[in-house]
Amino acid sequence: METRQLLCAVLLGWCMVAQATDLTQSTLTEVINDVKLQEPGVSKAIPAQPNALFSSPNLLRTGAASRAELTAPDQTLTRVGANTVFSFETAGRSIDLQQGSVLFHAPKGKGGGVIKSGGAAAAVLGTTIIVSYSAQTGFKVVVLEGHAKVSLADGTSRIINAGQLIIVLPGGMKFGPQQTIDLAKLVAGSALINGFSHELPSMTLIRAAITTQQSNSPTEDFASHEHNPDIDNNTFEAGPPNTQRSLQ
Amino acid sequence: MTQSTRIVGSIFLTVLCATPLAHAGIFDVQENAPAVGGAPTPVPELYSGESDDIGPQVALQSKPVRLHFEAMLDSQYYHTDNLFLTEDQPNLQTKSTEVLVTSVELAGATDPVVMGGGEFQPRFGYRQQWYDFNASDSTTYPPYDANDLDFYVQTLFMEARYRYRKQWIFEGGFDWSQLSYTTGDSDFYSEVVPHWGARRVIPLDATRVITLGYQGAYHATDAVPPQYSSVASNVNDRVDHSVFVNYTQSITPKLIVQPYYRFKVIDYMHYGDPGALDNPRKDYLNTVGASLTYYFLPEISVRGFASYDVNDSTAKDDSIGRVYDYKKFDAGVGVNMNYRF
Repeated sequence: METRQLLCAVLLGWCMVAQATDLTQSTLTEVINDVKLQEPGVSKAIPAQPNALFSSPNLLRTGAASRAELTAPDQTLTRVGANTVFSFETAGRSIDLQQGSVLFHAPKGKGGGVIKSGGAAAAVLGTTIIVSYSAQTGFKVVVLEGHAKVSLADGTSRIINAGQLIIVLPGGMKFGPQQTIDLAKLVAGSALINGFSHELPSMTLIRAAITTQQSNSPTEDFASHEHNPDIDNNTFEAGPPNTQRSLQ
Repeated sequence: MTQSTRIVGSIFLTVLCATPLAHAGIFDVQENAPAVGGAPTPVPELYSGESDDIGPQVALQSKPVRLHFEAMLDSQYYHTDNLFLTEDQPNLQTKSTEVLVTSVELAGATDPVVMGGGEFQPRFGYRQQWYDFNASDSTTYPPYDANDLDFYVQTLFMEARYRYRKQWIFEGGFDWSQLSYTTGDSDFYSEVVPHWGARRVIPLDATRVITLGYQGAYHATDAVPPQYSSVASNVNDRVDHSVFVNYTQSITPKLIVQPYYRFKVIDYMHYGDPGALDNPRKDYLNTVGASLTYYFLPEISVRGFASYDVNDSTAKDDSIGRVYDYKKFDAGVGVNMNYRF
């Protein structure tokens, strides 16, 4: 499978997670409708139960109108949408998304993570993003707050900011358009954000990003702005020509 | 004032071409917002039902990058206790006076363009500043001309700023300045100044910010040489590097206080040249200061400010006993008006 060939993504992720705990297992903190766990090489999947441990290299599969939430020991959160197949890699902090959609949130200082699909990868540190993937149509990354680095198989990358979306075309070799989206509208209608019993830990930051977008200015207006950056009071520093004593 | 005195004065002019005027206020952050808006268009789903989980994806079309203009009028009146940067020696008396600096600026700038995860904004324009001194040159002959020190500066500038993740600011630019005496309109100094810099803005909370920064500039100068002198017209060519730290606090939404410290190294490249001044010179300038600015409106502000300079130079006594070590205290008030259209 192409996804397994993503050396660039592994390298990218390695830099970020070298000092972090591996993300190879999580607890199923919420299970909605049809969620199954499947061991590699075993054709039959078993229904997932709340509080069950899901670990690499097992697969998690969701059916229609189904969702799941997984919480890692370091509070890294993965929410899985409908008709999704994903797994943790056996080492590092990478998620292999084979189809469907996931919301990924890594608390700051926990090493972030890399979500890989079809030749592309999205790397994050202390950020909340949504990634969706279809082998036929491509890889999509939406940044809800913070920033994410999206990379192609050849290592080319782009930084995506809060409220932006990018599509990587099938094959993972070319970027599609990078667009600014209506973040408030997306958040309001997102089951991955609102379809669980408790609020995302980064919801405050997401709301701040919405405010930023709606006001067309940063929320950290004051903080991001340097007042009076020219500290010379608008003058030439040394005043007038030095004519007091000359070479007479 | 004799022509030769003016010329010599120009040679020793230690002016530094001012960085672009402090037109910015706390309210101008809107300038730095990305240009988004316009008619929404839906983003296609990768697969059926994707939007149910992700949410509806509606792209906001980027506004076309447009050019806008900024007009600025600034006036400040301040006292300086060392007008001529007289050396800090017991036998030398410093000259104190008041200075009125009036500035007008017209600039064009584009909306910030999102690029590489940051925002890029070019700017260009023209600035003119008039320096009016409440003092004259004691060495003039005929002995008194009340305006013999007054001069004005004409500057063409173009610059660009790149703001990355709101907290990193990289900037570069190119200025051309011409200095002329007000009396007689005689040009005495010009310089071309490529400059560059970087700043890190560190927010402490919603009302306090610390800024660490570096600025560098190369001054390619041309001063009218004194008569009967072998001093080259480019003797003031120099490279300077500054590091600074600013603390900015919004006391109230309209009242901003900003103390700062800056250390600048100024390397005069030709002072040591044979036939020039034979006096290698590198200055180390320490400046501490503060400003208090009140915004009546986002476009109109008044400020009080004070600064203290201590300059230490490697130059030895030259033929006129100049060592370029000095101390200087300035304090004054100013008013700023700007209009964007």
